[in-house]
Amino acid sequence: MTEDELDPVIHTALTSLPEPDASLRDNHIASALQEVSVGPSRYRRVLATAAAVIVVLAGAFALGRSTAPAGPTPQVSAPASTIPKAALTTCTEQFDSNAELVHSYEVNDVDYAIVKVGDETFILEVRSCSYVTQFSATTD
Amino acid sequence: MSVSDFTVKRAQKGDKGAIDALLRAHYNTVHAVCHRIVINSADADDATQMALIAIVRALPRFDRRSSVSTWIYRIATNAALDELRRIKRRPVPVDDTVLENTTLESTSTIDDQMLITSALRQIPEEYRVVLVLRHIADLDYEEIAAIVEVPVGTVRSRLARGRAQLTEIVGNQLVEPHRQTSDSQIINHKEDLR
Repeated sequence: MTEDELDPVIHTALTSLPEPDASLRDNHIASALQEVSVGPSRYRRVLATAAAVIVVLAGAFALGRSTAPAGPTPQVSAPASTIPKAALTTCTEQFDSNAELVHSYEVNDVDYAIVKVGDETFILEVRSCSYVTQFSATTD
Repeated sequence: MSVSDFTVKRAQKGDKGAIDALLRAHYNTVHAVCHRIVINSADADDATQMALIAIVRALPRFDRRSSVSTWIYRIATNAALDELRRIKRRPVPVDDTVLENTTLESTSTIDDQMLITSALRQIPEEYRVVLVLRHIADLDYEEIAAIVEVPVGTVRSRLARGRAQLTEIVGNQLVEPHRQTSDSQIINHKEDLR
């Protein structure tokens, strides 16, 4: 018996707890699942508020620029996509804090984002920030 | 049983089906961890419920610095320890056994469970927790150290002491070659535990 081992008979007695009652398990899981609707909706409210604040600030900034005296204007390169960057960023971060936005595109008025998390690549529908499909890196 | 990384991601996004799958995959171990740490059956069931709720609430913040199972057992351990603290604050302790409301197959199984439950009750909490995480949750020393927030060397020494105490208390009785016990002996064990 090595340092890391317990006597097999004791180990068996310790680990052989009777399986929990199925109805108890189902009740426990059902109660826990009731928390789901509480958590994400709060999270979405926070995100919606943050997005609204960004929109208001962006609007105020644009208004200020339009009423400012004419002068030298810095050149700003055109965005690669017509999808609002804030929405892309929010969706990417909401999906995974380590997600990296790779590309965004639009098909039939629906905005999509391609994000990368580690070796996995995901396509998200930006408006609802919902998962569409996933690709994994292969070593062919 | 493990779940895919994809299921974990969907669960983190609030997909109820994925959360259900995640909880079911780990339920038995969460239940066992809570029962072996808390010991009292009804309180352990409460701890299991609190652990599942805590898991669902914390899922969006799971940062993947550990495996999802290690993260889940950390939450289960904390729920069990919280339950123990609540029990200690209770004015009148309720004392039942892990066997209540369960169906066991043989008298020898009942006998073994009575002995192991009684022995766990006598072992200090800090030893009991590492024994449960090592032998029931099947975690390695580093994972246990992260959960109980002590150095790996401390985990090692607590495990050694916990195993020694457990062996000392129950070893001779469990490893006897003739373990068939009569009903009267089982009743005596039950009386001892009360």
